[in-house]
Amino acid sequence: MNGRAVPPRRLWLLAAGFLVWCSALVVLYALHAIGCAFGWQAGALRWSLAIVLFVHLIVIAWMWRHLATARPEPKLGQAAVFLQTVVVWTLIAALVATVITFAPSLVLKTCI
Amino acid sequence: MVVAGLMAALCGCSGPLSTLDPSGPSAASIALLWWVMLAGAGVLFALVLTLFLLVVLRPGWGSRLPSSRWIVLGGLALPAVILLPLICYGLLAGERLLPLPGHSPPRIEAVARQWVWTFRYPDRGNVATTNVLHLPAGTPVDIDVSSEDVIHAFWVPRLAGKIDAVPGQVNHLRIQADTPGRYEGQCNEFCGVGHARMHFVVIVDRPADYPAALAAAAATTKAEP
Repeated sequence: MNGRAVPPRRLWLLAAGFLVWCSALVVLYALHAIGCAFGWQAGALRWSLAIVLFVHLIVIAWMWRHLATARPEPKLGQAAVFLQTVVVWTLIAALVATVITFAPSLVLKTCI
Repeated sequence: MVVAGLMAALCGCSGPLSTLDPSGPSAASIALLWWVMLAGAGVLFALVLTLFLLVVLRPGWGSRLPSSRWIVLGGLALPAVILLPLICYGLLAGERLLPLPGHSPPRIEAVARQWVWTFRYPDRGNVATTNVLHLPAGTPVDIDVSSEDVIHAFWVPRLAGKIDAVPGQVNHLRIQADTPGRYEGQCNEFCGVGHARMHFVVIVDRPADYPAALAAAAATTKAEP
């Protein structure tokens, strides 16, 4: 084994991307339901959904950029490098999943 | 055993509650989506099984490709090629099923309570039937689904998809039966000990016979205690 053990709290980074995905799901779902229940204009509701989705994408993209350019601490050895690689790929997966899962709600019928 | 399994599986292809035996445009669209998804799943399964057999029968096969390429091609590209078109098809099919405002077909209220369905016909003098829904053939009808107690779900598998019956809310489902006949519906959300018995009959009448058949059914319901 080379280097010191990676602190366990850093494992939370593995879930970071998909926690943002979860946030997007809850907020978009709630906003859509509230907008339809209160009879918002389709255009206003669509723009609100688009802004919320865009903010979540920005957050994931920022995390991706931040973690992809960060240098792992040398004293933590190969485990830290491996963890960083996996975290970066989970962020990419979360970004793609967020687009595929939620972008269609912007072009489909809002309320009926 | 294979024959027994096939028999059990094929039993679902017909019968009063089979989604694979559609008798209306909504159910036909859903059934087509199911077949398209089955075909997509079949293609993926065949490809994965072929790769698996190649690896087992010819040890070392595929080792020239680096593992990262296998992950990208097999884990991302292959599912994406199958699943993304399926998502697009599913979204378009779902849009076509929506009861959009604009043209206003006849309305029928479906009210659920443990463990009975009551159907009211506002366009027909607000008469009511219990556990029997009468529809005219070949005409789209909007079903306004609600509940008086817990969450139920309205489902006539051969005619349309299901929709929840939620207390305090009215959900809309557009339904159309192509041919006259007798169909069956079922509560499709667990709603208590009587859930399994909470089914109803859908009788689709020829348009000319519909008013008389509905009036007769409503009179029968009224006569019951």
